[in-house]
Formats: sequence, structure tokens, C-alpha cells
Amino acid sequence: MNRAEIIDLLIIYPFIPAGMMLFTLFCKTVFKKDISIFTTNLSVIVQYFMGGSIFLFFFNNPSKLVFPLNGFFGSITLMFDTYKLFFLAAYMATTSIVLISGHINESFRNYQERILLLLFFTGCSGIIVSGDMFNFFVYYELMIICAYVLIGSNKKYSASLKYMIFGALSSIFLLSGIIVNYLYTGMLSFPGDYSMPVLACIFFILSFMLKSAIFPFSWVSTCHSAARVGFSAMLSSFTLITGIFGLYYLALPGLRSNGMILNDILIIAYLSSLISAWNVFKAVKIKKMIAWSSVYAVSNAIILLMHGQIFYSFVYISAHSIYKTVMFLVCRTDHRLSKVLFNLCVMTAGGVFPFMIFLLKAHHNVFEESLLIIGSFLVMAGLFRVVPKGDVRLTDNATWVFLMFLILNISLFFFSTRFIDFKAQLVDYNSFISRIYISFVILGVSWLTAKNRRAQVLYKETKEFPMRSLNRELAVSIIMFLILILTFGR
Amino acid sequence: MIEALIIIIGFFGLITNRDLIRKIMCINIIQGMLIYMFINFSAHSSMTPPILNSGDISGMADPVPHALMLTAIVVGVCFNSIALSIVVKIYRRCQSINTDDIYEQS
Repeated sequence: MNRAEIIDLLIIYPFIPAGMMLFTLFCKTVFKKDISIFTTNLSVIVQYFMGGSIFLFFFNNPSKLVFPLNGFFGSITLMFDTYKLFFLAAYMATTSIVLISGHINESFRNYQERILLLLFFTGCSGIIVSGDMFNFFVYYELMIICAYVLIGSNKKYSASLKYMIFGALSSIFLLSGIIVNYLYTGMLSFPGDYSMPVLACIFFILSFMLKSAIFPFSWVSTCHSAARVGFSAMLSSFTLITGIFGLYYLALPGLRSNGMILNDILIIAYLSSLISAWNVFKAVKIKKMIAWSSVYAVSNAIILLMHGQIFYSFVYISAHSIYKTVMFLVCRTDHRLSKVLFNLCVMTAGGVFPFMIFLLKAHHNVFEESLLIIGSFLVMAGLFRVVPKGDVRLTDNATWVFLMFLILNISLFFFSTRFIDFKAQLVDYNSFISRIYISFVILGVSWLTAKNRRAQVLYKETKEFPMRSLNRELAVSIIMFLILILTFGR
Repeated sequence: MIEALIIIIGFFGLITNRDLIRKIMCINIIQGMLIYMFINFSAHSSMTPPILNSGDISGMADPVPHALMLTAIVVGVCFNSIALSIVVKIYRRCQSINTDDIYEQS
């Protein structure tokens, strides 16, 4: 079996069991529940092995592979390159942690939800291997339509509807970008070999800003915290980073020649980073805190991307997927190991030495470094307030989650050394030592701040349902579009 | 030009309406007009339908936009069915589909 066939199977494998389960939806069999659990878990495991094979292939021979998806799907063209390995890593890390924690059975409770989960996996895999804009759009829609229903499965229909309206709006902008690009260039493949019209780039940027929920959009805290724990983890750790995927593959190639718009996006990403960090600091509900910290991570990854540090950005989002999934899964458990894990994840999110995000924040000037320090402090001071408290069962699997967390982090570190020269950062020894010193000072100060603020009731149910601000947020998205158009005109 | 105007009306309705059904209708108007605009730009009356009888393809309309927009229509239908089913669930729970009323009741 060659590389192309394995990459084909990455999409086909979760799709076929989902189709078979869909046909047997109305059959009355005794083993229906057991079969659905078995099929879903098996799909994740098989995808894990296939992903591992792809890693081995591309790790030894980094290249770009364009090939048709044979057979049933006709003439769809897929593409895989070295950068996509990081998205595959993020996807596999998320699914494997959720699988090992037992949350696939816990968070997706009935037959229909498991079918939707398999279709969601198909969409995720399809996004990773998609070779052109329209396939990206179709797989993204498949993923997000399943997400609408799965968020609503926790009886939070209003959050689901809010997610749906913003998702639809971002899809409209994405479709507009595809249409404009096709009308001007007659091409549907990812730009790179041809120049894309700037208007299409603007549509793509706005679409991916909406998908990544960066400033001024704030739907993520409502929507990601509404789902069940396992699915919240998937939304925060994988669905959110598809915005960065789109930004890199669709919008950025067209913008490389236009530094002005790149600077504007950089400013928006810095604003988003600071505001989301402040929201983590101020939030009183755990899942909202973690959701906001996801926006903080995505904003930082966009900053790295805009600086041209593509590998740094992609390693950042892979690390983000690992610790964010673990955070969601352990934040509401009472196991002693869960508390250790949660605190480790908080330090990873803050970028404290020796965690990997510390190394990824290396290449910035003093002003940008100071903004990141403020962000790190706010995120850690906010998240250290959380005292994991049990209302979700994970006690039996906490050891496995802990082991998986360690294995994935170590693997990611060794994997990223192939693309990033971490040793080069040691050249400026004094700067390196001073950054270690500063990171420990932030750690100490944020810990003390959190300790003083711990008296706040963390599990307080506040009346928080920003449906009222839905129209305002929609208006903001249109105004953002107009501002980008004016920037283009400038 | 008319398509652009209708898209602007759709956006205006999406922003200002508080009724969930109307919001979904506005999203549909925008999507529909985008699809119509794409088809309109990619083919005109002098072109023949892209059905291959002989080897000559001159004067034929480009079939790619039609294929793409058919897929986009299918995606739109999926979105509609799920959006409306969620609105029904919200109505059963809150006895209203007005965003302000839903806020008050939650």
C-alpha cells in the first residue's frame, strides 16, 4: 500500500462505518449500542495507525503529494505536504486523548451522536487532506454541521444556534472568496502557483477570523462551553485551528505581496491575544476560561504566522491541541493526578520554561515580548484559580491520560526538532537565561495572584447568555469586512 | 447589480432581525444570491449547455460553476434542515423564537 492509498483511507475509513450505521439507524437490534461504541472506538484506533504510517512516510521524506481520491469519490484531488503533518498531529492527539479518557462513550451517549461523531471525523480528516478550495469548503461544512447538532445534544440549543449563525456567516464569506477567485483566475486549487485577487483574500481572511473567533468576535465562550466535555475538547483543540489552516493555505499566499494587510492582521491578533487573556482572568466558569484560553493560543499562533514563522506557529497549535484537550477532560475531575495534569497544562499555556511554548515565543522584539508576558500572566493567573472538583468520571483513566500527555508532548518535541532549530536559541545565552528568569517570575506572581483570588466562587452559575449581543456581533463582522475593504482600497 | 443589492438586504435583515426564522431566511437569501451571481457571471445566453455530443467544446458554458453550486445548494439544504429543527427545539423550550425573549427566559 502506497502513501496515497493510506491518505485516501484516512477519509474513507470513518465515512463508511458512519454510512453503515446510518442505514441501520431504524433497525431494532439488541447489540446496537455495543456495535456503535465498538465501531466508533475502532475508527479512532484505525485512523491513529493510518496517521502514524503517514507520519513515518513524510518524516523520512518531506515532500508535497498531490493525488486523486480513487474509486467511489471520483475525481476529487487530495494534497498532503509537510505542514499538514502538524494538523494531522493535532487531530490525532485530540482524538487519542479523548479515546483513552473514555469520553467517546461518555460524551457521545447514543447511536445518532456516534454517527455524527464519525461524520465529524470524516470532515476533520477531509480538511487536512483537501487539495482545493471547494473540497475544503465541503469538508468544513460536513464537520461544522455535525458540530451544530452535537453542541445541541447537551440541551444547549441556543448556543448551538449561535454557533450555527456565525458558522453560516463564515461559510458565506468562504464561498464568496472561492467564487471571486474562480471568476478572476479560473482556478480552484490552493494558491501558490498563481496569484489570487486581493478581494478573494479579504473574504478568506474574514471567514477565517470568524472561524477562529479572534477579536472582535466572542461567540467561542458560549458555544464551546455548551457542549459535553469530550466534544468541547474537540471543538477547542481542532475545529478552532482550522481557521489557521485556511489562513495559511488560502489567504496568506495572496497576501504575501501586500504587507499592509498583514500588519493589520498582526495588530488584530495582538488585540485578540490580550483581550482573550483578560477574559480568562475575569471568567468565573471553568469551561469558559478554557475556551477563552483557546482563543489566546490561536491568536498567538496567528502572530507567529504573520511574522513568517510558519513551523513555530504550527508546532504551537499542535502543542495547544494536546494541552487543551487534557485541560477540558481533567478540569472537572477529582483525581489527584488530574490536579497535577491541569497545573502542567496551565504552565504549558502560559509558556513557562521548560514547556515547549516557551521555546516558540523566542523570536519577537521587546514590545511584542512584553505584550506576550502580560498575556501569559493573565492566562496563568486566571487558570491557576481552578481547583479541579469532581462531577465528571475520569478517575480510572487519569493515569492513562497523564501518560498520553507525556508521550504526545515528548513526541511532538522530537518531531519539531526536525523543522525548528531549538539549539540556535541558545546562541544568545544571556537572552535565553533572562527569558527563563522572567518566565519563573511570571509563574510565581500569577500563582500568588490566583491564590488571592481563589475566594471567588468558581462554579457560580452566572446569567450569561449573550444571545442579546448576537445582532451586535453580526454587525461587527460586517463592519470588519468594510474596514478590510477600505484597507484594500488604501 | 441587483444580486449585490439583494445580498446587502440579506445582511441588513440578518443584523437587525430578532426573529430566528427571519435570520435563517436572510442567510438563505444571501446564499441563494451568491449562487445565482456565480452562475450568472460564468455563463451567458450565447453559450450552449455543457453536453458533449462531438469533440467541439467551443461556445459551451463552463460546467465547473454549475457542479460547484449544486454542491453548495446541497450544503445549504443541510444547514436549513438543522437550523429549523434547532429553532423548533428552542420554541418548545422557551415558547418564543425572539432572541430577547430567549435571553430573558434562560
